[in-house]
Amino acid sequence: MASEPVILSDPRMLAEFMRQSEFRSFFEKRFAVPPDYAALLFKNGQLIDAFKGGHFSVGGVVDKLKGLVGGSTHIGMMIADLKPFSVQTALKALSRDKVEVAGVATLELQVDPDKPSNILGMMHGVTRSGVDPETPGRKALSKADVLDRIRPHLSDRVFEAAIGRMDAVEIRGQTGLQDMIQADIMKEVERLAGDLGLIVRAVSIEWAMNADEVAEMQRAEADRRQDALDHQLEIIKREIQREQDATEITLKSQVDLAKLQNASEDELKQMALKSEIEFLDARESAKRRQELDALAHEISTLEIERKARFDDALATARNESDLLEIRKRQAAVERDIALIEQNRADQMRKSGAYTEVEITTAVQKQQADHIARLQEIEIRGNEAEANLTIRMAGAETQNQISLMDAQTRGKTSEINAFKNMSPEQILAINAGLSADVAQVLAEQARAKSVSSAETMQAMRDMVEAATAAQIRSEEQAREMFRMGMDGAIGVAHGAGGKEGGTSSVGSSSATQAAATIECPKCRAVNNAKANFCKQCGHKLRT
Amino acid sequence: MVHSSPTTSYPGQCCFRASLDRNATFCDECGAPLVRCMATDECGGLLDETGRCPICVAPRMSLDAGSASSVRVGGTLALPLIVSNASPVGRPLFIEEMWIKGDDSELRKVELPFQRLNSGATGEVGLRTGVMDTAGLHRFDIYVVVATRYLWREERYAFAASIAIPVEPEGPSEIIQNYNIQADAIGAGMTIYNPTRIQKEREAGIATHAEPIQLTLRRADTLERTLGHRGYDGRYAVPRFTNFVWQGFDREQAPLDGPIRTATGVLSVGRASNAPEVGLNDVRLLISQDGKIDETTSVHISRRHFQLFIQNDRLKLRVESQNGTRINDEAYRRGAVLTLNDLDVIRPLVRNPEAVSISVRFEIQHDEVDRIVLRRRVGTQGSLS
Repeated sequence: MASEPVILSDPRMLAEFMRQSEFRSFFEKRFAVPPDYAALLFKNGQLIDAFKGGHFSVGGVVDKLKGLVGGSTHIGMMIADLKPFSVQTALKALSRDKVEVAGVATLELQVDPDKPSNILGMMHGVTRSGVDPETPGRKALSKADVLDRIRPHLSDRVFEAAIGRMDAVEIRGQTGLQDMIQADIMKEVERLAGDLGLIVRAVSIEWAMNADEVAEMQRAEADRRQDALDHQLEIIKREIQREQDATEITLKSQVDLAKLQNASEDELKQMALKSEIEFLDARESAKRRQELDALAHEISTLEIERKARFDDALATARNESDLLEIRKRQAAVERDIALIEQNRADQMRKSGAYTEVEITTAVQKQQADHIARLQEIEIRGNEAEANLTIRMAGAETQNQISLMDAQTRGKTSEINAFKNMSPEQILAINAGLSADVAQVLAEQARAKSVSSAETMQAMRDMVEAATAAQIRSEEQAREMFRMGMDGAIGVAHGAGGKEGGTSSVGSSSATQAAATIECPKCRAVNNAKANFCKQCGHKLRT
Repeated sequence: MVHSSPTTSYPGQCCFRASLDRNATFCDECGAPLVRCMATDECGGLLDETGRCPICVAPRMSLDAGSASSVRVGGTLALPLIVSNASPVGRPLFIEEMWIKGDDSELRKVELPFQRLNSGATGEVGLRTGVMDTAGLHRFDIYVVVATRYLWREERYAFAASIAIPVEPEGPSEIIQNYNIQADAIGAGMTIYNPTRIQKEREAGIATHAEPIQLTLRRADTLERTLGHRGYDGRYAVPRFTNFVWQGFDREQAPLDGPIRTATGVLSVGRASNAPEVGLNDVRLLISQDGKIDETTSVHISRRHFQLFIQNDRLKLRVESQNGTRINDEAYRRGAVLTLNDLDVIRPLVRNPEAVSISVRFEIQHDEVDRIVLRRRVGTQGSLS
């Protein structure tokens, strides 16, 4: 069954009684109080215990029955929020310099989690009737109630006392003062409501603007404004000065220049008044002159550039014409050389020396080639002969190796064959009989004898007989035994013994027979390794 | 048991290896007869010693995640079950019946909303326990009857699983039980719980579980018989390993004595000559005596007259002949499947019942039929007389 969570009906509430009606139900009810709430349980008006959180189950049929028998029990429960909460209050006081100081104090309060039941002490005026709408019975304690109770004790004892020690302008930003106020408030609340389970966690005050601060602020504002004006004045002054510096004045005068130069300011003023001299504002003409100067400068630059380019082109042209001249001269020299060579060749041909030298060289070369060819043929012949000898020797060696290898292999296979054979078979094979024949002889020997010594003796007799009868294949051997040992001679021919080829056929059928086995009961062919017949389940091995 | 002392429990690995040869009827290594599943063409499986093909019949049952596993006195509990078919070869499984049984209560049948479960499929069943009257640990047995089918044949098996459910006593209703406890005593910090309740919850293994709980299914062979799914009314059973003894048949007309060893487990009995080569199964049925065949009467026997097989631990006969077959004195049409009982007599020729008959006799050891003796009798009024 899920528990019903129990919380305060309004977040502004600090503690609240649960209504009796909530407990009343036919079935058992379970309540869960979160761990950040204190739950106070009352029975018949008496506080039973206080818990921080918990699960409670109430009511049910049994409870009801109990009520019928032993009288009903009144169960009450109050829950109180144990989380810190903040309340704000306005404050007003006079500073040392008699300025009114105002502010808002924020108090972080909490119901003491170690003594949650003490909260009951704060719940003054609690009624349980709750029927009169005019004076609704308080079944709860709100956070505002708490503040109302402590506020009157704070104004004079704490705020006035603290602020009266300071000038109004010093208050703002004074953490020392704030700490002092907090400490005082804590002391005060402890005095007031410490045993009621209320603790102060922190206090901060936000100050309003006081008269001194306002005056201070206005003064600062006026100073700032004056500074701005001064600054502007300075700027204007500087502009005027700049204009003055840039102004040219043309003095137009009909009076003597020397006189003018020597004239004092007053005299000049006088002259001006008499229109003897005329001030002309030459600012426009000065600007034009400056522009003309710039233009002239640009023209001169262009002129210099163009000149330089022309010089450069001229130099290039000169260089090309020089080159042409040189090439012409070179061609002439080459022509002369060719002419001289031609003359020399003509002279040589005339003297005939060239032809003779050529013939001698050719003959010598021919002879040398001939000798070289002869030598080469001889060397090749020798090489071929040597190769032939080497190859012959190699083949001979290879033959010998193969022979030895074959012998070794034969021996090895013989050994391997012997490995899986019984002593009787080895005996027969050593006597020169084939493996198949040996197997038949061994089977027969074992069949006829009791002990191994007897087997070996019988085997020896059989081998002798088989050798005498020239038995070569399995069929011949079986035929021999069919006819009896005495008539064995000639069996080889009688059984249609074929030389050579038959032995290989016989051996393959023997191999096949060895891989499978026939069930004596149902004649099904089974694997030689099978323990039981796969067809009838007959046991094949003992 | 018939098979000759296998060293390991049947079927061993050697048997599976030997069963790869379709013609093999015995394991060539341990000598056990290879009793193949009726659906061997699909599953290639061998029956285990209890006559079940573990490849075809692999039901799984689990308790669904999130189901409550404890209840108070006076309450009932719903058990959401998941039944699944874990056959790895795609053989469907048919959930035929489901039963639930409380501690002392009667078996109660559960209505199933589904029957066929394809391989890998799951079905959900909601079981409701009865009212729990007393506190303590209660045990519920759940029985499920499943069937596997192949052609006209069907094998049924019953499995059992049990669930233990703790039932708590009636909850405390007086507040007094709650507030005389201390939080520190149970180490729950700021929150106060009723320690007695915590203790109970721990004992009850409370709480819903996050994952499905796999229930172990055990074969319920007794239940199979009492519910009438296998065997003969709870009296005895004919397991697949039962030996067949053929008497009165001419040479090479009946197979060797022993269990049915055809791959499908069905023995065809009829005039067809391709049947009983040495060691192979199938029975050649002719009206003959001492090698002399009465051809005129034998013609009336169909080439495949009827089939014998073992199903649900019962010897069954399916009529294959167009002319029908008589069992005792009752004639049955083609396609009828009958259970053969001890001392039944099969009379293949409906119109000439005395011409040839095969009597059935069970030799029972404990509650299992060890041998079934099938004796052929050729009637006296035939032309052979």
